[in-house]
This record gives sequence, structure tokens and C-alpha cells, in this order.
Amino acid sequence: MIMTALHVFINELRIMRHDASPFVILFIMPSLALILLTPALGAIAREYGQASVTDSALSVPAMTVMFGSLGAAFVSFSIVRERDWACWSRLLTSAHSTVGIIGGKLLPPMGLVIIQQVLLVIIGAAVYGGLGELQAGAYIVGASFFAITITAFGLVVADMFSSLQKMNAVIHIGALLFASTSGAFIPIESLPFYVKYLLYISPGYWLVVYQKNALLGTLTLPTASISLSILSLQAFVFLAYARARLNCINT
Amino acid sequence: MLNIQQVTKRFGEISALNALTLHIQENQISAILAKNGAGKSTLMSLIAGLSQPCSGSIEINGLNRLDKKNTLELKKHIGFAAQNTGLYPMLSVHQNVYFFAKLHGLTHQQAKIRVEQLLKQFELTELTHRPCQTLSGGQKRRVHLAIAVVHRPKLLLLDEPTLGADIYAREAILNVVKDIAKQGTAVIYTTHYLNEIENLNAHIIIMDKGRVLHQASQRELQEKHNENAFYVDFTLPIAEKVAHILAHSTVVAAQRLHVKNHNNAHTIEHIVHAMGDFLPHIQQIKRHESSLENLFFTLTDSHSTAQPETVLVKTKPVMHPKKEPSLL
Ligand SMILES: Nc1ncnc2c1ncn2[C@@H]1O[C@H](COP(=O)(O)OP(=O)(O)O)[C@@H](O)[C@H]1O
Ligand SMILES: [Mg+2]
Repeated sequence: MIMTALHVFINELRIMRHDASPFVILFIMPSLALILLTPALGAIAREYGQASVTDSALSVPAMTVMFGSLGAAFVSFSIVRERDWACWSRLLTSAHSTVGIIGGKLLPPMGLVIIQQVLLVIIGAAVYGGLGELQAGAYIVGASFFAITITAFGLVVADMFSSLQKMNAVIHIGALLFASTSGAFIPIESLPFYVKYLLYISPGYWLVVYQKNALLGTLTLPTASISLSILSLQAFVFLAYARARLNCINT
Repeated sequence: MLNIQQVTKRFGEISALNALTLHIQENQISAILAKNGAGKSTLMSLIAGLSQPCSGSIEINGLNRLDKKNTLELKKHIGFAAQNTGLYPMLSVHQNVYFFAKLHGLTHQQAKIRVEQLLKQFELTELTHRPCQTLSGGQKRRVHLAIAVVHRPKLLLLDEPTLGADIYAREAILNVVKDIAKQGTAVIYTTHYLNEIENLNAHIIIMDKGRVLHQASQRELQEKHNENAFYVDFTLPIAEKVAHILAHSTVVAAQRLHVKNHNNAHTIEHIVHAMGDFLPHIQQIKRHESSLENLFFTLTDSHSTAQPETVLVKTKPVMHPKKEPSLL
């Protein structure tokens, strides 16, 4: 399983060398958005009485949740594309472990999502400051859990859509909904009441709760445990689904 | 080697395989000859373990294909080249073949040697570092096939392996397939090109509508079906009477006679000569040629495209007895 994952991982990196779009979408776009939108997000938060929160502690998780969820798109993309190239059946008949294939495919986007979150913290601190209290270790742990959950979700999406066009449309709308209902862009108080109930099943919400605290230095063990448990549980469900569904060609 | 019993596969309303039963020996090439939509690809992906049948059993080398315990063991022994070429377009020929060699568990050194050897065998050495997206259809096909045999499988499944290949690539592919079979690999080869089957000297399996209609070796098939004949049509219902005077003839209809042409002993002149007084009543004489093609068309009910009968003599309205029959 580990060897399969390693070979698939190396192959994914080879393919990525020929396609720069993950870097543009996962690194350049959120960095620009962070620089441009941080003051506006801070102003909205103060309007809702969250005066104590620094601007970048708001905008960094917001950008992560918006653009990190596109990490799911890269996973789905890499699997749907594999079917377009007719390589998926070949992988299944060649690799000694299906779990290994899935692992190898998840690793690169997972790594990119973690790097993205680190990059955003650095840019946020450099441009707007206010991250003196950052719990760096906890932040990276949170980033890793989110990366696993969101990329595992990408597998579920890959199973649901057979064509790239359909998948693209759905995933971009999904990322937008996901980000806007995480409480990162817009304070939760301002959202319609029913969205508040949806929040609790969104990985984005739990990421925002966790990372906001880590950025402000106020993350406690209970808060961390709840967020990470929920993210892990979701990742587990997505992975189990993928394991059951992705080992034949018709899916 | 491969034993398929009563396998059924449905896609919603469509029944792709209908209680299909098939037995395949080792050390031979078995060619599945069928029209598009007959279920060839469905059958191949079931054997490869990429999908599950609705019912029936598949056994490979004594191992139950449908038992998950055997999946890994079977992966090691089966090579599968699907109908669509499966290659990473931006990666080079070498990177593609090498990747699958590694997935099959070859070490770096083994994989390097094996890839080099395969590229040579498939005449791809000059293209080693070319990205696959820049290759021609026939070149892609060859890389596709090289990947399928990278782990030296005991059972090789080739689903229309010459699709999109020009005659040179086709020739190269057929030669490699023959070589691989000679080394003891059982090959299942689907196609709708009859000449490929003849070239491969394959065991023939004719399939239609999800079932096996006929199975035979080339020799058996030739002996059994390669019997040429003539059809003689009359302007009057006199077939019965003529049958008495014309050797090897049987009545097909009141105005039609079937004349066996065993070992091509009969000629048109023979028939015309033997006809005597009935000669003016001949409407036409047709030659019926038996071939794999005709057998295939007969079995699969595709007469519309078949041309098993060649009209040799046509009279209008009455042929002169002494005149040479005109050969059309
Ligand atoms: N995934 C699928 N979903 C629905 N129908 C399918 C699927 N795969 C094959 N079929 C149908 O099953 C039949 C057999 O198809 P196939 O095995 O591809 O035939 P062949 O390879 O002989 O051309 C066809 O009618 C085809 O439309
Ligand atoms: Mg087919």
C-alpha cells in the first residue's frame, strides 16, 4: 500500500510539473485576495462588535476556507481526468492496492492546502501584522486536519461527477457556499437563521473556529478537540465512501 | 485457464452479457469476433476485475475472480489493454511504461531493463522521450500494449488492440502478439477485423448480443464450413426434376437448387452441360462462397451487409444453349 501510494504520488508530481494551475489557484489567488480584502473583512467584523479581533486573524481563515476548499477540486479533477485519459482502469489493474492509489492521489493536493495556509499566515502577518499571539504548532495541526478532510471530500465529488465540466461548475459553486457559510467572510450573526444549523456540519466552520483561535493565541484544548474530532470524523466518512466506490471503472 | 459460466451483466435495461459461457485454453490466442455493441468490452472488463457480473462465475487459473481474496494474485497474472488507449498525455513514453512497471512491483533496476526491452520489442525506442500526446494513433496503441505486458502476465486481454493503427503499426502489433503467445501467454483478442484472426491463426469465438454463438479453431472452421456451392435459380418450378439429373444437388425451393461444390469439382460449364433440356429455364447461377466472413454474417444475422453470393450467370430471358455463360 505504501509503495503504491509512493509511486502514484511521484507520478502526480510529474503530471503537476506540466500544469501550473494548482499553484495559481491555490497560492496566487488567495494571496491577492488576502491583501485586497483584509481591511474590508475587519471593518465588517467591527460593525458586528468583534472589535478585539485583528484583521488578519479574520481574513486568513476566510481565505483558507474559500481557496483551501478548491483543494477538493484538485482531487476530483485528478481522478476525473484520469478517467478521461482512460488511465483509471489501468491504475486499478496495475496497482497492488486501491487504498494506495487514493493515498498517492491525495498527498499532493493535501500538501498544497497545508502550504497555502502557512503562506497565508506569513503574508497576513507581513502586510497587516497583528499575529504576535499565533500558536504556530496548533495552526499547522489544524491546517493538516482540514487538508485531509477537504481532499477526502474531493474523492466523493469525483465519484458523483463523470465529466470535468459538470464537476467544475458544481465545485466552484460549492466552494463559494462553503466559504460564505463558514462564518469566515461574514459574521455568523448576520447569516439567515437556517444557515446557522448548516454550519455545524461544514468542515469550514470547524476550521474557522479552530484557526481563528490559533491565530489569536486563544485556542484551548476543548475547542481544539471538538474541531479536530469533527474534521476527522468527516474525513473518515469521505474516505470510507471513496474506498467502497472508487475500485471499479463504472463509478 | 479461463472458465466463464453463465455470466450475465446488465446496465439498467440493457443486457450486455446474456448467460455467457466460455472456456479458454492456455498457450493459445483466442479471438473474439463480434459486432460493435455485442458485449466484448463488457466481457473484458469483467475478466480484468474492473466490474462485477450480475450473476454467473468466472474462474482464472483455478481462482475465483469474484472472490476479493484473489484480487491481488490475479492482478499479477492478468494484463489488460482496454479499448481506449490509457496513457498520461504529457508524460514521455518511458515515464508511462516505467510508472506501470513500478506499480506492478518491479524494482527500479528491473523496471529500467524491462522498459528498454519492451520499447525495443514494440519498435518504440526512438520515441522513448517523446510525450505521449505527440504520438500518432498507431504509436500510442503500441505504448498502450507495452504497458499491458510490462509484468509478463499469463493471461493477456487485448480489446481491439489495432483500433486507429495504420497497416504498419497493425502488422507490428500482430507480430508482437504472436511472439507473446509463443512464450506461453494466453491471449484473448477482440476484433471485428477477420483478416487479423486469420493472421494470428487464432481460436475463433464468435459472439453476438452478449452470447457466444460459435467456437472453433481455424482448421475446424475451414473443414466444417469451407464448402463452396452454387445456387441455380429457374424461371419455372422445376428444381425437383433437375435434382434427379444433377449430381450433388438438393432442392432449396421449387425454383431453386443447391449444388455442392466439394473440392471445387464443379464448374459452371459442368452444370450448364448437365442441365440438358432444362437449360433454357435457368434464370441465374450464383456461387456461394463459404468463409469466416460468411459464417460470421450468417451466425450474427447481418445479411444486409453480407455478400456471400456472387452472381455468375444471369439469363435474360432465355440463354442460348451453345453460348458460353457470361461471367459477371
Ligand atoms: N457503462 C455502461 N452503461 C450502460 N450501458 C453500457 C455500459 N457499458 C456497455 N454498455 C452497453 O452494453 C452493450 C455492450 O457494450 P460493449 O461491451 O462496449 O460492446 P462491444 O465492446 O462489443 O462493442 C452495449 O449495448 C452498450 O451500450
Ligand atoms: Mg468494445
